[in-house]
Amino acid sequence: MAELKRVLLVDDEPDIQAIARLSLEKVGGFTLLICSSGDEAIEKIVDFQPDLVLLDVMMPTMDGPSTLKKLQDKGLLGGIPVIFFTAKVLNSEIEELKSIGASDVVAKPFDPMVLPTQLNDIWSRVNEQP
Amino acid sequence: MSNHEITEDIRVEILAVKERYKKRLLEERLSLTTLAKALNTSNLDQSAEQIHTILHSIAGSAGTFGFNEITREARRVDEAVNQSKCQLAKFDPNELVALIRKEIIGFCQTLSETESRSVGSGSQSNADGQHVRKKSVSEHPLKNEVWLIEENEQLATQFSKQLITFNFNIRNVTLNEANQLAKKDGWPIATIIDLDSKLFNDATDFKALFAETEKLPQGVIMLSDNDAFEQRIKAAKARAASFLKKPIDLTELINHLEVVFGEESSEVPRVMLVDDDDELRSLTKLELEAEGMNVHVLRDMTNILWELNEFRPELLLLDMEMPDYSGIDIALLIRQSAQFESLPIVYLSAERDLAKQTEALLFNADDFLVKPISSDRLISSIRSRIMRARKIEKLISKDGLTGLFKHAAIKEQAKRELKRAIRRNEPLSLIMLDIDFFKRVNDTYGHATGDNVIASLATLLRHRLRQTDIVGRYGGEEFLIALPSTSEQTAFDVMEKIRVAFSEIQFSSGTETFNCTLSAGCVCSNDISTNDASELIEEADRALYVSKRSGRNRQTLASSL
Repeated sequence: MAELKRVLLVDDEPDIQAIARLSLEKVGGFTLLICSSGDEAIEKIVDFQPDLVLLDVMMPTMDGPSTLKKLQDKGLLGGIPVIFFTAKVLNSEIEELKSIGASDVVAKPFDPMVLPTQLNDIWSRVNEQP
Repeated sequence: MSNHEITEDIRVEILAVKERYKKRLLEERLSLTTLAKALNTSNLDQSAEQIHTILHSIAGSAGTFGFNEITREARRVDEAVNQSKCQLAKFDPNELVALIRKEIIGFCQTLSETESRSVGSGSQSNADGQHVRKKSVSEHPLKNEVWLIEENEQLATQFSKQLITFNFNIRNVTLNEANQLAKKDGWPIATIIDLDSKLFNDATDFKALFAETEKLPQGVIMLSDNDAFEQRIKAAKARAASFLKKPIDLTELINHLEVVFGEESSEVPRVMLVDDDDELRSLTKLELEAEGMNVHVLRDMTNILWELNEFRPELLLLDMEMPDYSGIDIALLIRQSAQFESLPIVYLSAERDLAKQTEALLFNADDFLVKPISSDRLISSIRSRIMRARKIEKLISKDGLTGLFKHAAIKEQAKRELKRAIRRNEPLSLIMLDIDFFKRVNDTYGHATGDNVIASLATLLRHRLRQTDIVGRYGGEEFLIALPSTSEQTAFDVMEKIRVAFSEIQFSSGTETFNCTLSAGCVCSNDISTNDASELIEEADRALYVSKRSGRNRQTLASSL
């Protein structure tokens, strides 16, 4: 199975971007592209060719679910797993997010030293599925 | 580097990000306070939505930065506000407003306690109580971010690498990306632009290149091979703050960045409030805090000297009429200690009799404000007093070239820190450091270049140390650092990073480039039983001497001698 290497993070908050960059680049050793909005992600996803997309749910103008829908509609995902990043951790919401096509949900707040492991775990799980 | 060291490095960086996040919490708290104050039945829907956005974002982030309690509280309050909003039909809207306001004020209190925890303890530690590098105190949304518009990848990498050494947060962007980002969040405090790309070369008017955004970038430093008048005037028309001709001298670039950041960011003013009227006190506190000041309320008058020492206010706001003591009594008591001679004292009083006001001022106070006073007037007089006191203080105690404490002032600070460390039973570490073969730099490249090297080291020290660490220029090329609540090992580790970073800085003089190194000696109050700071300084100096003798570009622990 291929290793998880390239991660696209979509999140509008500069503080989260800064700590996620440390976490994913330095701790996780991933190649990371951070987009501050859904629109930016749509514009850059093809060029960047991520292995996995980490998508914040609550963003101004276009939220996570709408971004996912647009990515799907435009056929930009081509099987790239999308993981939602959310501060809400209710089971009902997790199910709802999965039902619209998310591979998994990672809860905020996250531990910067652990986040890469979480992503690797999800990555292996997604790839094991037939 | 071993894995362990890498992890350690990351931890230090994470701590720095956490420290920055704390500033954001402060901003969020001020927004919440404003929203709560302005909340009424007619704006309920809209305000509740704004409150929800803020709380939700805090709930999702605070835990990541180590503030788990805040995440829990934010989630709870968010839920409470949401639920009460849903029950709008059942409740009296006025009650609802009061309820939400109470929850928000309570939450702001929690936030404020988190912020003041580090203030109260006198040392700026983060949630984990570990060593954190100093960060710009600016309240700017992009904090110490610097954008770099540089098409030449080699130069971009070189700049990024070197500026990161000085703790600037570099973001390499294209002009297009910069415009897009600026449209959304505004420009950062500083933007560096290389004019030698086709885009800029072809432009007849630089200003037009930023037309997409509403505002021109601020704090712009433009770089170019061509420094003809036409190019410079185009830069000036685009309101560039600086224009540097290539090849770029890093020190000069840093100096320009410092100027830009210095204008933008200033330390949060610290005000101590002494007033027996509880209600008025909390109102004044809120007003000053809404202006971004750090306010400490003195509750027990008998503690005043101790609290002045701990909180170190930049101004004391003193009520004239208190039951047991008059403002004049307190002012005199404070001035009995020489160390508070320059602390601005402002009386706040209902006294309208001019003769009595004048009499009060005779007793060593600086200003007299009559209650009731408008918020604007109060804030502007406090702010201007503090700014003036800072300027004077700087002239008296700071070194012109480096902006660090002068010899006498740093010694005085070291004394004070040692007293405090002993009282609190905490370690104090001192580091004495000296630039290696500095005379050669002066002899080879001239004194101007030598000064550049000294200024760069000072900048590096300021950026790499905590705000609570105190740095002074002890002699020509010799510096003394006092690190409160810091063990010898931590001090050593911090210094080691600085030593390496300094050795990597490339200085230039004309067409030549060169590097410098430094040697250091480190001592901790835990290892030497003395209450005389001079003895500690001597020990640090002795350790420095051993570093010099055993080959330079290294540090020595006094405990190993």
